[in-house]
Amino acid sequence: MSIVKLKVNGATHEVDVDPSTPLLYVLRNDLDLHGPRFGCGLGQCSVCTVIMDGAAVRSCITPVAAVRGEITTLEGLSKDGKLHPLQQAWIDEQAAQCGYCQNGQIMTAKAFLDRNPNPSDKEILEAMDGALCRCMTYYRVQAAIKRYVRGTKSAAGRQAATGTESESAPAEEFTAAAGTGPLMASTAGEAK
Amino acid sequence: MSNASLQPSNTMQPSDTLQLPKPLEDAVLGINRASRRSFLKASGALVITLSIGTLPGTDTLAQEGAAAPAGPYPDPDFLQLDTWIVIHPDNTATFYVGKTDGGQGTGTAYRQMMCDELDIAYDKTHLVMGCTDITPDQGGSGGSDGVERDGMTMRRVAAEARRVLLEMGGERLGAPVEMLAVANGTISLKSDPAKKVTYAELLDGKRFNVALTGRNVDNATGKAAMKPVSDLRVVGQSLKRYDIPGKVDGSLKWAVDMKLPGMVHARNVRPPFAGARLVSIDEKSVADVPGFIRVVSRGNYVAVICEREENAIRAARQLKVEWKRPDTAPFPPSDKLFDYMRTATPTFTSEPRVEGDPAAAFETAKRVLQAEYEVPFQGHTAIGPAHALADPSDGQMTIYSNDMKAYGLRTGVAKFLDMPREKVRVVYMDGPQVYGRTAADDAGFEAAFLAKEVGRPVRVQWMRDEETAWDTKGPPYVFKLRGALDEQGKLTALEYDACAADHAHLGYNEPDTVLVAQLMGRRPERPARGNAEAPSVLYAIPNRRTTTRVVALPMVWETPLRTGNLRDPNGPQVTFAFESFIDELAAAAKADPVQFRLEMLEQAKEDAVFRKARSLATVRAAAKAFGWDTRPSPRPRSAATRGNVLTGRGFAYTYRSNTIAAIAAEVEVNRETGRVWVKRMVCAHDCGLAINPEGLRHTVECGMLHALSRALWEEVQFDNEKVTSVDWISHPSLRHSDTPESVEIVLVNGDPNPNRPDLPHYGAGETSHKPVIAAVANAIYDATGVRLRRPPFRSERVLSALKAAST
Repeated sequence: MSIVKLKVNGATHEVDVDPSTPLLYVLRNDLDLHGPRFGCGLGQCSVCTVIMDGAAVRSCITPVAAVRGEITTLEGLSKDGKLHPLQQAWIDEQAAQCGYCQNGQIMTAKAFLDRNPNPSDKEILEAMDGALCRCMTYYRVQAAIKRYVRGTKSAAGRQAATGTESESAPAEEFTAAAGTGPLMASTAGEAK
Repeated sequence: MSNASLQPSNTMQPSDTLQLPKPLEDAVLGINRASRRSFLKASGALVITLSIGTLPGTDTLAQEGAAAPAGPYPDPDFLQLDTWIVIHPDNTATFYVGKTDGGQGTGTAYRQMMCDELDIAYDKTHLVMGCTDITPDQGGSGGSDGVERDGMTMRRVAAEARRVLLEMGGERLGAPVEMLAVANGTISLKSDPAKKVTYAELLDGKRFNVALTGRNVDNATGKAAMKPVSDLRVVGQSLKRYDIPGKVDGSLKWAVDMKLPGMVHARNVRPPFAGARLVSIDEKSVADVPGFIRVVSRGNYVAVICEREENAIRAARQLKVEWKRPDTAPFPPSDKLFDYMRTATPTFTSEPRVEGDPAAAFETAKRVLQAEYEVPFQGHTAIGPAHALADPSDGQMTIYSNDMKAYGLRTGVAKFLDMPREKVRVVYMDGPQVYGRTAADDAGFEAAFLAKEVGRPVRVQWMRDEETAWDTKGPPYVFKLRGALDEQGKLTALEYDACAADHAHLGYNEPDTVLVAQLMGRRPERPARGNAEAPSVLYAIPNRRTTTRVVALPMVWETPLRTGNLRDPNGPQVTFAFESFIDELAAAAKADPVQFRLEMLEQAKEDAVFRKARSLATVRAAAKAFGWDTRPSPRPRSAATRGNVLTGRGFAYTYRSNTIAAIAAEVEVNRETGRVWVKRMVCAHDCGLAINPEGLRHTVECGMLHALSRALWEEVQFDNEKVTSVDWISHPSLRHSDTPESVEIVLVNGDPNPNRPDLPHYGAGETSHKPVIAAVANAIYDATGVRLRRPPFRSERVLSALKAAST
């Protein structure tokens, strides 16, 4: 055991653990940060992803002694009780099913979009390919990323026009896509 | 009701101590057991008032301190209205239902249904699910019947609460019920809306104290009638799921996150090959692991327990265990599986089901077609391995689990540990997707066993290789189909023969069949018979013969090749074979695949739930939305070819219970690499009344993509003693880059009387999952002229099939 110093989500922590301990267990069990979860322990699925100095890393295979720089976990994305616009996009698109993998989806996307704020569809697929989801929410995840990118662009546009800072992407109105009555399904077998 | 008032409340606030979703505090902290679920925050012990009232609202909701000892945990009485609904002093309500939500948004749907019947705003409600001591036993989840069946009970009890409150309101306001209006939990005089009273004011902190009737929970009802569909306002809204914000900001506490004071960590040490016998354990081999507590073993079950999680993992890897191989191979290797199944002596053979005179029809047929299909073992391979935390404090056993059938886990663990049921409870919390995996919740049993052994709360979690190798699996199948076509190309006879390696099917939380019990040497009196299923057929086929049989692998117990419930346990396999063969028949008849199906559906008999009319509507809707080009398959080569890519489209249709799904898929097959990319899918889906259309679409879409993963990637591989596909490299799954360009869901209401006031709401969790493999196979045939009769359609298999056909 030895004392390891970690800076996580803006706070500094000292933990007394074996230096070879994967970062995942320190975050979850010592720092009570449950965003990253165990999925494979092999760096294959991304469920445990955290951001280390801007890069998405798999905390399940990162020894705590190998940590360099500041760690951001899912819990660290929101600021002052306000969700990060990427998280808001996730809610707007209702991206999750069970949600167990969504930490990996969001953190992988965050690190990627910070590097490439205006990606093509193909670049999104490539960047996200290592983030597995067994509920298969891939579309919603991709839609959330695109929504965030659109929001960032229009916020940047507004900022350029007005010279003011925009904290977050405009939240697009969530619309009940299928109307307002209980008989959303079209009637008499006519497809909508 | 404005849309704004319908927006779901944000995540539930954590409590100070355990950071649990607020409505779970009762269950976890053991407070308020006498009153069962007063959410009145009392400081210090207060007087408990439990008078035996006979009129609604005469019992005071008791308040007591948090110091009550744990347990016992009797069953909530499903025939008491108070078990289902509590109205709080702030005029909010909590609903208690005996279901779970694996991520399909059923919890949101239940709330919507109950809000509508109770006439309360959605954001003024909470929902508690699946905690065995505070929610009535509705069996948990399974079979996609939660919205269909259990939702009806929920609607009835909520309607009864509204009725009782209206009567009380009438008394308070001095007017007959007909003169009253009710909205958002407030009753007012129609003639003078200023005269009003809230639900909370009426109850004034008291219980309903209203008995329900019904032989069982599915029949529980009060006197009130449910609202007609036209009066439903919350149902039909695409409200956002209440559970997503907490899953996106990291604030939701999952079962995997639970911690308790004094908790220790366990990891299993699995036999390295099936049927291994434990010879010896060298406990000294882990003596140097910090915080090592002990090795627990019984029979062939072995686990290590450490203070810290990473050390439990290390100890489990480091522990020296000597195992003895069984005398004979436990199973054939995966590449010999189907040969084995074809020749194995069946453990069960069904009576042939015969309609008409198939033998005569085959004799007079213009053309007879025959084909065999195979489907391998396919696993759940949940993204999060099995896990549970068990707390043995105070001589009770509390299990924090994502078991979809929490009630079964409770009963199973009580039997397993020989404890009274009343001393065992299960607290259901969110977890990774289930689809049947946690119906047999191995980890819950293990955690409880280990907790009892060491007398401390034990958290257990499986490792990736363990989960992928040892989880329950969908049964493999071998099918043989024969069809007779007449002069006009009509299908006059069909023979269907199915063989499934499903002996000792492990369905549920049984104390003698969960893995830990098997490894300990416990055995049921006889293994479950298992099942080989017949297809869901509405098609009018005048002469039919259906036979099914089940075979066993050589080793029945203590094997990773355990079959269990995987998202409609047999549907995807059976529908793949049957709807592929229908496609082969259509091609042989030179008929368009959709027209071929429609003609057989048009001749079908209608049934009580209008499956014929709804199937016709659904098939037509899918074809229309897809832009189906009517022609026989395969596609003419010149039209199908674009460079190295062959393109085509395929169709498949089925139903599950009362829900209908038809899927059209467009594929691209690369002739050089064999890669299949499904470019586009359209699903038309009729499950009656849509409670939450967007949530429904999401469920249908994810069910399709899950099946697409089974179509393209998933297969359990094994040698003759162990599973060899054990991680995401050796057991690939669908990825972002595999997703189609578009998936379109068309919600259909094909009921002949689509606006009827009692339009049912059917289940949606599995139906769209069933026909995908067939739709993809049919599209590959359309594109290439090559018929693939065994998924998954990985590049190497497709390429060799194309080469064999010189395509």
